[in-house]
Formats: sequence, structure tokens, C-alpha cells
Amino acid sequence: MKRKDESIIIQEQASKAVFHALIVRLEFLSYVLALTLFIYGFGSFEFIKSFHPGLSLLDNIWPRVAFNSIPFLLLGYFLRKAALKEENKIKIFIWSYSVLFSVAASIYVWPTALKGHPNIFLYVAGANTAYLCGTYIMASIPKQFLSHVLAGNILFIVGPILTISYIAGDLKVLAVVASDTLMAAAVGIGLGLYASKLHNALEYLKASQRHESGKYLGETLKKALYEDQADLIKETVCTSYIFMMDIRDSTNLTRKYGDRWSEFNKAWLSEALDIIRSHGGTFVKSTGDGLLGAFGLFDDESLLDDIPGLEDKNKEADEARWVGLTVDTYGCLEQLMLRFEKVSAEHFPEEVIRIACGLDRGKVHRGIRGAQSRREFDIWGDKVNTAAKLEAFSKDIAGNFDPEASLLVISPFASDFLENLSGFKKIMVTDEIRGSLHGIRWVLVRSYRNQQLIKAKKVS
Amino acid sequence: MRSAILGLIPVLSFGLPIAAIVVTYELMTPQWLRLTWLVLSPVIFIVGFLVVAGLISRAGLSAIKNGRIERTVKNWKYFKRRLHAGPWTMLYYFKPVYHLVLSIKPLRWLAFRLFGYKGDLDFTIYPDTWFRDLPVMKISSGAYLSNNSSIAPNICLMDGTILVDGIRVGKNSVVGHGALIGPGTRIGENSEIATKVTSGIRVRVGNDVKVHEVTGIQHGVVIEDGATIEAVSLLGLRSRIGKGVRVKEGSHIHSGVRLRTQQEADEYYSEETGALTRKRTLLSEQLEEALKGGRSGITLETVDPEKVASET
Repeated sequence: MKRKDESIIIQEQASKAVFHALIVRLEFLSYVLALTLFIYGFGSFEFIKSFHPGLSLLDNIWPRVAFNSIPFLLLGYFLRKAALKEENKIKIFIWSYSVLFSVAASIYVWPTALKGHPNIFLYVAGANTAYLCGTYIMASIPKQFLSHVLAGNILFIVGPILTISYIAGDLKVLAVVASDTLMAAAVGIGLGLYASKLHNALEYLKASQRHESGKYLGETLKKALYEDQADLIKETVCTSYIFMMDIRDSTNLTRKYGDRWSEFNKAWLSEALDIIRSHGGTFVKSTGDGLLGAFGLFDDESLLDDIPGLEDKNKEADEARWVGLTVDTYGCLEQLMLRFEKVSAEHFPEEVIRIACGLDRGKVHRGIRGAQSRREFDIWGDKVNTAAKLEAFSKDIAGNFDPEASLLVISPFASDFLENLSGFKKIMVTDEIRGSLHGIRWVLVRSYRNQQLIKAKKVS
Repeated sequence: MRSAILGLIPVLSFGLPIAAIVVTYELMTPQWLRLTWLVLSPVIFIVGFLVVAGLISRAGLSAIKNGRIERTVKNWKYFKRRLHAGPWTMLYYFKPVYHLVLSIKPLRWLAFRLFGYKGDLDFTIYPDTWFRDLPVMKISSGAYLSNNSSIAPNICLMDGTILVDGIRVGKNSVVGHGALIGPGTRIGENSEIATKVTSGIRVRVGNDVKVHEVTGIQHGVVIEDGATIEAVSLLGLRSRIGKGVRVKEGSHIHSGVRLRTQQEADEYYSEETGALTRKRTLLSEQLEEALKGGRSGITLETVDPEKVASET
């Protein structure tokens, strides 16, 4: 069922892209036909003159400009500018194209044939073939418009040509014209249909690639790139909780356990992402064994800052927002710390593996960063650095806690909305380190040890 | 000078089409042609009025942008806004003409495009649906803007400025009868904002959302995909309702509150209900005490209705 849904979504995206590309081609074709029919005024002059000795070049050109070139130019412009559904634009092109063929043929050619000169059809056979075959192949109109293509053809192209050549009275010419025109139309429409299938297959491939790549881009980039939510990656300053988590002593552990460590890392990252998402947080990126996450990154909390008179109400909403974010953030971190112990104990029952987390709160920049050829969604700013430094600071203060415990280190700003500080230890920051922690004077630290796991290990 | 220019707008919009009709009539000599012209003159007037008003409005098209500007014609941007808004207001309040413009597709296309609207045109709108600042509006295919609803992309503020912020309504979404949609609001696809819902500035409504009748949505509220807000609820400033969450009838969600999951919504609701229940219990206890002549000092007298009737 899930697969089917995915393929429907992909097909819808592909069809949309096929129609869009088709409109662009039809617009281009309109301009090409406008130019070609203007040039035809020169090319057809000599043979038309042989039927109309008094004809001047201008007489052969101006009607083609007025009734063919200008309408085709307007059609091209209309296809680009009109705010119509793409299906309707395609139908308009199909019918205009057919009608304009009749108009072009009515300039000297059909009237000459009706005046008893059916041979003129032999002079225009090449142009007709190009008009029919070339246009349909290049346009590559999908099957769903076939009824319009056939109806337009019968009513304004093939039908009138056969009727007039029959009325003109030369059956040999009729046979040549009939075979030429029908073959050109059949080849043009047939190959056009086949080409449209190829276009569709290509767009389907592109859409499915987009769909698959979306899984690797992360939710933010996927929404921004493929779901018309570009605002998400527009560089913005916002306020949020930022946390950085890293596994302690991971370099040695990687060396020690090799592939087993890699498997554990995958399992842990997958669990961590689920936990962060389930608490409404944003996983920003992973670096080695560490991960960077945030809460409240897309709240658009400054949405009403430019509205006067809302200052107090906005402040109240801000307070409530932070209270909610605090519940989500600490709930998530608590679960992450405890879950880490469980996952690590499952993979390495013989070893105590610790994790450390730094948490800060405040202004961060969010947006797209990187080189022209490689960009990624990211967050940056003092608070991100502080979160990373607080996580690293846990190494310096590890001596104050159980050596087998994982540590959560939070800045004073991150504790503003914490109602219950039980379980936290206040650690003063020395003057040497204070500079690297952006002037923070103290931090709150909480250690995590899963008592059940300790008991189980002791028993084993 | 600027006010005088603005005063010219109705003169030109009404005068030029009438003049064109009269002059052409005078130039025609056959009686039958004059009669035909007279019969057609209302249609000619409507199209002429529309084209003249629309062309005048284009002079102010570039000033129809999101943002805040001082509300005085001395301000060049505001003056340009008036150049656009004046002709549109005339068309909007010229109800028979506006009704025809909305009903006849080519006229609708002509009117909306002349006044700078760039979005889809196959949405439903009525002559009494408040709708303006067309260049910043984006209403998608199949959307339904009911009678008497206000799709209001601008609002006058107390500090003498006007806030303009375009509104987006996604595919197949419905704005109910008498609903009010504030500036900068974005409504996703297949969502319903029911009758008499009042929504503030820059509200974000996701896809497949249902907001039931007479609900109040304050500024900056975010309602994520698939959420349902039952009738007569009140969502406080910048509150946030998570994906698929159902907010029960008559709920009051305070400013800035985030209800991310259904569990959170239920807990929040029961907290509110719990507070009300505690209040009711307290009141009934006080009443009971009063009936006993307790510490509240209130005493109640039993009245015999028959005695009262005979006395009167």
C-alpha cells in the first residue's frame, strides 16, 4: 500500500513536470512556426506566381505575416503569460495550430486549387509534411490529448485538403495528396506519442530520484526544495534550545570494537532521531559520534514583532512558548540519556559507555551554508558554539561525578524555565575556562546512571 | 494636488465609457445600428468601466506590497496604494457590475489581471466577499470563499499606519460564511475555516485542517496539518496546535501554548475542566453554607408564592 501511494505521488509529480515542459516546447514551437511561415512567403512566391502572374512578393508576404506569423507570436506569448490550467493551454495550442493551418492554406493555395489548378498541391506537399510531421514530433503531445489532435486534424487539416483536392477534379493528385498527408499526420502523431512516452519516463525517473533523495536530505531541505516551502531555509535569526551530544572516549572505542562500534552507532543514531522527532525537535546534523539538535527552530516567534500594541501579549506568548519548549527539550534529553545507556548496554554488555550533552538557549541563525557545489541546512551562532563547549566541558568536570555516569551540562540560560532543579549540581566555572564558555559563570550538571542496568551487570 | 488626482478616478472611470458610448452613438447614422448600439451599451459600459478603472489602478500596482506604511496621501507609497485601491473599491461596491464580472469568465480574467492578481482564477468568490490588494493575494484552484466572508489582506493600526500582508488559500480549501481571515494568513490545501470563524494576523493553517464554527483564532497561531478545532474554541496569541490534534469544543488555549500531541491537548483540556470543576465545587459549598446561615452571613428567606400573589 505504501509503495503504491509513493508511486502515485511520483507519477503526479512527473505529469506536472511533463505538462510544464510541454508548454515551454509549445511556446517555442509557436515562435518557430511564426518565423517559418514568414519565410514561406518568400519560398512559395515563385510557384504561386506561376499560377497568378500579376502577384507581387508583398502580396504573398503580408497575408502570411498578418494571419499566420502574428497569431503564432500571440499564441506563444499567451502560452507563456496566461494564468490558465496547463491542460487548457495545451488544448488551445492544438486547436489554434490546426485552424492556423487552414488559414495558411487559404492564402492562394486552396483558392488556386479550387479554380482548377489541383497541381498546386504537389508544390506544397513538402511544406505540409514538415508542418504536420515536424510539429507533432517536437511537441510530443501526450495520449490524453489525442482526441483533440485527431479532431483538429480532421476538421482543419486532412479533411479540407482531401475535400478540396477531390473537388479540384484530378484523381491522381488526390491520391498523392491523400497518401502524403495521411502518412505525414500518422508518422507525426505516432512518433509524437512515442516521444511523449519517453518524456514521461524521463520525468518519472527524475521525480522518483527526487523522492528518494528527499529521504537523505532531511525534512527541512526536502520541504524547502520539493514542497514549495523555501522560507524554511531562508537565513533567519530565531530563538531556540540547542543541544550537542557526543559519546565519550569514542576514538578509543572505535579502534577497540571496529565494525561492532559502527553498528552500535547506526542503531543509536536511528533511536536518537526517533526520540528527537517524537518530542517535536529538529535533528540538525551528526558529526562522527556526535549530534546537533534544536527545539523551537521553526516557531517563527518574531512573526508579530512589527505589530504595535501586541508587546505585552507577545511577551506572555513567549513565556508560554518557552515553558512548552522546556518540557519538550528536557523530556527529550532525559529520554535520550536513558535510552543511550540501554542501547549501549545491549551492544556492549561488557563495557560502560558514556555520553555527554551540552545545552544552551538563545538566538541562533538558521539557513543554508556551504560552498556553491555542496550546501546543507545548518544552524550557527554563539549559542551553538556554547552548546558544543558545554558538552566538551563535561570532560573537565567528570571528576565530580560517578566516573561511569553520562553527563548533561546546561548553561544558566537553559535553566531559566526549569521549575524543578533537583538532581542538578551547580558547578562554578573557573576564570581560565570562562572565556571559552562565552562568560558563563556557572553551569548545572546532571549525571545519569541507569540503576537497573547496574544491577543487571552486577548480577551477570 | 494628490487628493484632486484621486478625485479624478471616479470621473474618468464613469465618464470615459459613457462618453465613448454617446460619441459613437452620434457618429452612427442608420437607425437600426443606433438601436443595436443602445441595446449593447450596458455591456459596452461594463467593459469600458472595467478597462478604464483597471488601467488607472495599474498606476499604483507597484505600491501593493507586504509591509507597513503611513496612512496619509502625503506619503507617496500610500498615495499610489490609493491609486490602486480607489478603482477597485469602485468596482467592488458597484455590485451589479461586480457580480457580472465575477460570473463571466472572460470578464473575471480581465478584471483580476488588470488589477494585478497573479494566482489561479478558478476559485469561487461572491460579490459580497471582501477581497482587495489583489497583487499580494494567492487563492488556489478550487478554493471557496463564501458570501459575507472577509479575506482582508490589510488592516489599519492605531499608530496611523496600515499593515498589508497577502493571504494564501490553498487548493480546495473553504472559507465559510461570515468568516474573517486576517492579513498574512496562510491556509493550506483541503482545509476548512467554518462559518463565523475569526482569524487574526499571520495565522498559519496547514493542510486538511478543520476549524469549526465561531472559533476565534488570535494572531500568529499555527495549526498544523490534519488538526481539528471544534466549535466555539479560542486559540490564544501564537499558540500552536500540532499535527492531527483535536481541540475539543469550547476550549480556551492560552497564548503561546503548544499542544503537540493529542495527549497534551487532552491533559490541557482536563486541566481547564478541572479548574472549572473545582470552582463549581467551591461555589456550591459556599452556597450550601449560605443556606445553612453559615460564615458567609447570607440568609435565605423561604417565600410562599400564594401569599405573594394574594398580597399583590
